[in-house]
Amino acid sequence: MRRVAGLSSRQRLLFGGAVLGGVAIVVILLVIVIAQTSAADEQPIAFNHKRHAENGIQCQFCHAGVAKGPVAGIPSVEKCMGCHEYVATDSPQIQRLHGYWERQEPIPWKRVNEQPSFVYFNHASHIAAAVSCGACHGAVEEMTVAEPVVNMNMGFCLDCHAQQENKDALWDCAVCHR
Amino acid sequence: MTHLTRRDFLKVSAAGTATAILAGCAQETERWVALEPYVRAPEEQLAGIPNWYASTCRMCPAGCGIIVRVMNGRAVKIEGNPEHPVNRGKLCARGQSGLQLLYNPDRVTGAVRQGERGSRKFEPLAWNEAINTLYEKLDAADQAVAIWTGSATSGHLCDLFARYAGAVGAPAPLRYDLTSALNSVGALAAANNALFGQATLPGYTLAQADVIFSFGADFLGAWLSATGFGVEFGQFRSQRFGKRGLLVQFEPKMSITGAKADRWVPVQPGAEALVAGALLRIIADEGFGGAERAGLAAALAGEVDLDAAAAACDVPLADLVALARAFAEAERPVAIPGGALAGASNGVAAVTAVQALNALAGSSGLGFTPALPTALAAPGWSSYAEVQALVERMSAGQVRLLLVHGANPVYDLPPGSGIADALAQVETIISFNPLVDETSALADYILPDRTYLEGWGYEVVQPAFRGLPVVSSQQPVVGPFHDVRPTGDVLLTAARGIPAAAAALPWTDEVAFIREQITALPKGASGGDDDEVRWARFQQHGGWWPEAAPESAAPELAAQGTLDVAGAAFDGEAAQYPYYLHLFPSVLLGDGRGASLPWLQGAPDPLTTVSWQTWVEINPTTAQALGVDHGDVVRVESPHGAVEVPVYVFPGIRPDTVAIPLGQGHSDLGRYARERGSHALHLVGAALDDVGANLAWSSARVRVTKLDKKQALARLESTIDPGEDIHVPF
Repeated sequence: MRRVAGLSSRQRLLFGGAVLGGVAIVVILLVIVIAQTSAADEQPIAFNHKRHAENGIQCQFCHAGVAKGPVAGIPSVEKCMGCHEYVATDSPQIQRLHGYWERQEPIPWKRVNEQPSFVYFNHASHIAAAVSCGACHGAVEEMTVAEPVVNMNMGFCLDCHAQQENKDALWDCAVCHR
Repeated sequence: MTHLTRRDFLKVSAAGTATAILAGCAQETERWVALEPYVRAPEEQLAGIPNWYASTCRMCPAGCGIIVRVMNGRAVKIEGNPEHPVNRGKLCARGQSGLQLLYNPDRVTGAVRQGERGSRKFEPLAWNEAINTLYEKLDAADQAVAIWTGSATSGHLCDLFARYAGAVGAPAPLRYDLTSALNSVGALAAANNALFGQATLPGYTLAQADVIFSFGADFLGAWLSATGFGVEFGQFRSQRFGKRGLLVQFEPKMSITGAKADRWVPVQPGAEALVAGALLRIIADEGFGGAERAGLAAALAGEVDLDAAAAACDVPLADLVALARAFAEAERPVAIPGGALAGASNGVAAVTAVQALNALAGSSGLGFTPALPTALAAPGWSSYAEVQALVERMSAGQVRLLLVHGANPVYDLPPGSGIADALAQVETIISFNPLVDETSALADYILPDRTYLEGWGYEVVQPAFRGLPVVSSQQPVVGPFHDVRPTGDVLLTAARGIPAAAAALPWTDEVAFIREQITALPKGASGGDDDEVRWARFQQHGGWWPEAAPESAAPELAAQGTLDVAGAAFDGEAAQYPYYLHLFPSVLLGDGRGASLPWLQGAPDPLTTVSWQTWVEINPTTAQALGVDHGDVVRVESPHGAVEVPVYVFPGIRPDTVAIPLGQGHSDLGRYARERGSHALHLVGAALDDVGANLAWSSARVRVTKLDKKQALARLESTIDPGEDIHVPF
């Protein structure tokens, strides 16, 4: 910053206050804006996890890739229709599902959980190590709208990795950043 | 704070703007990778896990095996198939770029009709109407149909076209394009037939060779089967006990192979035959390599005045003697003819003279492709003389319907061939090419074929390597991206209405035809006891080949008498046209079909690092004499035409030669190729070579005039910077 020459101490104080005030405003604005845009995006269909869990449907029935590969997967429209061709067909939300099926369009679901591209995450190895879905995703079975309730940052991952038997291997950077 | 100064106001507003921008960036589309789940999930697809499919590359006719990584129904990466006997897991830049043909934004997305030829105004056509049109035109044309195929045409389609032409009594389909001309397949086949009685292409076994003499063949760059030769060359360079082999490259302009050679000999253009003739003579006279080899050389060598020959080819006689000794005394020497020398006016004589050198060592390095146990065979290439005959028939109005697949005759032939005028005399032209190229722009209908990543096929590989005959498999790795139909199916459907053809083409679709051909082959390396398993393994492993090379004797020398070698003749008086023109295929763009792919356009040429352009390579001493430097535009003029191109000053070229890469200068072929660079084939006449069969595409002299223009070269570096003092080996 350019030195402001020839100012009295009172003027300097005022100037410093103005700069600090400006910075504070920027920070507050940023926090508000990011918080707002990070809120759960509205999904194309108001899918209710709770309702499905109450009816005894296991996570893996829809997220079928979870024990087999890196990605749990979003079910195809065909899978939804497997039940909803007959179940709850008078619900306006299910009628929207029928609309996608009739148009043979994929449902443009908004992503709820995601790791950045520099993180390698594999669902299958976590399922194999008997980590429950809820350990990372929270009590999705209680959610009417799926939300990212757990902050899955690096500390969160390492907290758990450090408690494992083979923690030395799981502590390696290249386990996730590869 | 009592008041806000102007300065502070600006600061706060700037911060506000930054916040707004940051907030804008944080929109969902920027923050998240969009999800696109399936409507119907294919059973074999699992989210996050790629499928790999084996297939065959079609970016050039070499027939390399590829494996394609498919992620949720999208082809995302192409690699070499490690099992495939041709490329053994390796793949060149052109093969890697095949994805951009699949995803090319300029693909023809469905059948179209063009009201006025060249208008480039295409009206969509329903496929049933398109197929019906093809049927009606075929029916009306009867025998007056001509079929023109090329490098991008799958082997099964060549076979189907040939069966159709045979059934209706039309002339056999033509298979010719610029690739086949630049690969000099005509001269190679003619020379091999004359010397060894085998008109096939050689897959030289370089892996065991200790000395390679390459005469103009850029076998590590753009010649014949560069990836296959590259694998062989890798083994040649890493033999047991640290033996690296000796590669000597004779050529007027350094190619990528020349750059890898132990010795680069800048021979006079058109005089390569004299070098080969002189080497034979010296081996015979000096008795190099023992009595047997010297005796063979004596039987083949003509009368050569060595001093005159050395002067004519611009290589000191002492060097020729040393080279002759190195070749004759090597255990397994190999001589490779190719490139510009085969396109010279003495092309076949030159190739024959070089191939004769191989006879000295018992022809063990020739590696002719063995025949398959069934009737399946690689479709032959047509000669330029056959092209001329078709052009004449078209000009005379004897061709009512022309079908073009996988070739681009308007671009592939020099203007002197008269192709453009001949096409105007053809009643109907139907193109099957996936992009609107120069020929499709003159077509009445385009019925686009699927690209090779979407379609079925097979390729009988020629040249094959290590004596293993190979039928490479091609299968769809993704569903078709547009409303395009396989040409095989379109042809089979249309032919059903023509009684003679219907009997010869009884298959319901092309897959049934391919399956019948493949299951007729005996059990190959991938095994399988019944047809179903063999057919599945054919696709799974990327082709059919036997477990071990079939027993075959080294080719016997069939030639009698001595070889006559003479220097090549060039168009244009030396006084008027002081420089030899050396044309070469771009390692990246090939014969020009790579120009539609931005990856290949943007990849720098390996020797000059120039991309996206056409340039002319000029020796520094010549450049000084002409007063030109990097980026000065010059007019290069031959007796047949002229192009304007920027100069690249290049020490790896003779001072009496200028070199221009081929591949650019398209007037069509999509947004990345159009109006970019120049097509140097316009400098070439339409003369035939010494046997009257092949185009003498490397037989022009040119003059170079400096223009008052500059065009910056898109290059990463230069071998010489202005004012730099460098060693020029001339």
